[in-house]
Amino acid sequence: MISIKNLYKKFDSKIIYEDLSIDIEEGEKLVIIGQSGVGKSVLLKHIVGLIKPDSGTVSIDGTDLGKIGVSALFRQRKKFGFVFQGGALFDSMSVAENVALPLREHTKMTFTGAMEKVSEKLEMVGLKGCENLETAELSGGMRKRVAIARAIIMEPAYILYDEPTTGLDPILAEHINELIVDLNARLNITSIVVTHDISSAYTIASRIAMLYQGKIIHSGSPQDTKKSNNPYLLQFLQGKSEGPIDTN
Amino acid sequence: MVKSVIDKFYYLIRNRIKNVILLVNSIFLFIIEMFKSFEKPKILLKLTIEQMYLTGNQSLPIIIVSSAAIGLVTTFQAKFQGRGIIPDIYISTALVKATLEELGPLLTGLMLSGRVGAAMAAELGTMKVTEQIDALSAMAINPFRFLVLPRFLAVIIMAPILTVISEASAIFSGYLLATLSMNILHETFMKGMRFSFMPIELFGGLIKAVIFGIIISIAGTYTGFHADGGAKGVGQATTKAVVSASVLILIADYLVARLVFR
Ligand SMILES: Nc1ncnc2c1ncn2[C@@H]1O[C@H](COP(=O)(O)OP(=O)(O)OP(=O)(O)O)[C@@H](O)[C@H]1O
Ligand SMILES: [Mg+2]
Repeated sequence: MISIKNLYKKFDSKIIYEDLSIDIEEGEKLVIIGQSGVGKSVLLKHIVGLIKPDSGTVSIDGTDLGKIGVSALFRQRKKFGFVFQGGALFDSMSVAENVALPLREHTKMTFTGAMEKVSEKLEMVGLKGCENLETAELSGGMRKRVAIARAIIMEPAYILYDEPTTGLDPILAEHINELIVDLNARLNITSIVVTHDISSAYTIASRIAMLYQGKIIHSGSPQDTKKSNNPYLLQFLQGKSEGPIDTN
Repeated sequence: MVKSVIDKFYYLIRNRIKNVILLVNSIFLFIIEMFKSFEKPKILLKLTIEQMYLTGNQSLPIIIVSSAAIGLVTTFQAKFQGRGIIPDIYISTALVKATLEELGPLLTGLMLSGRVGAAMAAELGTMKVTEQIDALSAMAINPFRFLVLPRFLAVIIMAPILTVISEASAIFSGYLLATLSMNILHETFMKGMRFSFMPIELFGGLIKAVIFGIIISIAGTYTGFHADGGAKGVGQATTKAVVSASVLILIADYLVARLVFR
């Protein structure tokens, strides 16, 4: 379980979170929505301890990340897969080397064993046979999918997806949505998905949360979300430029 | 009016000093973090060897060529400035002393900082701004162990090796110039070399090389890790790495000379 309590964060003078709290239960598929720049990516980075809160706590399975040392933090991080918004592929490595890196670092698996796993995961993201491509040769959507393959290679307990389907065509996007749901169902992986794609959100989510002005202003099942009359949420879901949301 | 100018000046100076202290502190913490990240010696060894190969590959040609040029100039100047008053035997003495104490390590250090330090800062800076370093941390791979430590070790191992190569190149080119176009006998050159050679000079030069290696690798990795703001930030990091390493190398050169060759 991930538990964020009373989180405050400022960058210089820009307030990102003001008393934000949210709990994420085991096996959940939480979709986080919100405007660009509201702090969705930064929230994911707080969960794996890449960014430290100004105050408040982030706990993973009862361990407060702020109270542990570097090696304990790295141990906690082994529970996570993280799909970065920009992919963050290692450009000095091939596709296979990228995906295999966590295996090579954290397991004693043989090279052939690792490569089998890599092929399996690449096939899951629709990149069968792309092992030996260089990262420079990949299209935007391919980079995204290699990043997803890399994040799921260790079959972690939690996977954080930062806009996994942005830049994919509708068919591939649907395929990735199904993959997220399937991983959750088969391996009981807890998923946190940041997305701008409302229809994806409805497909994937067991819960949808909206981030606005430093707080979670809505959190509920897709049905609740559809029925909600929170004006901020409504404006965001309907994609209207007029409404209570401050667009500056 | 005067008072406000003085106040402003005072304020500026104080800020400068504060920033320098903060920077030194941050570099210090960076180095501690690097040493603390030591683990998995087998993978570390593999990465270090890879970096050693890269370091040599990037810098060997330029070090050999520039050292040879320096060897030629030194030999020529020794002969020319001697104007026939100083016996020929001292020409190889001058060459060897200058090369082992100063020119070899210094030239190697400066070339390494321009070639290898810059490459490090650019590569790591790009990794920083494209979140590759965050990605390593997120997959529980300590970026200090994976990126910083291998580069640090590789450069401090390679710097003395490359320095010896640089010295050999300078002395050999000087030898060719002396024997082929200055009518100095092979025996004279060798004799001058042998009786002037002092192990402490070679040793002192290699100590310098190790210190320069530390400076180059820390400057390259630190600036790379602290790059931000896209391509421009990477460019700035690269410039910073080269300029700061070069200045620090020149300062360290003087300090070590004072300590070793008293
Ligand atoms: N390392 C950082 N240093 C300073 N400011 C940062 C840093 N990371 C993010 N920010 C700022 O924090 C705010 C939130 O950024 P974040 O990346 O979380 O937005 P986001 O909700 O993911 O937006 P998008 O949907 O566009 O990806 C932005 O204003 C950004 O400029
Ligand atoms: Mg984002």
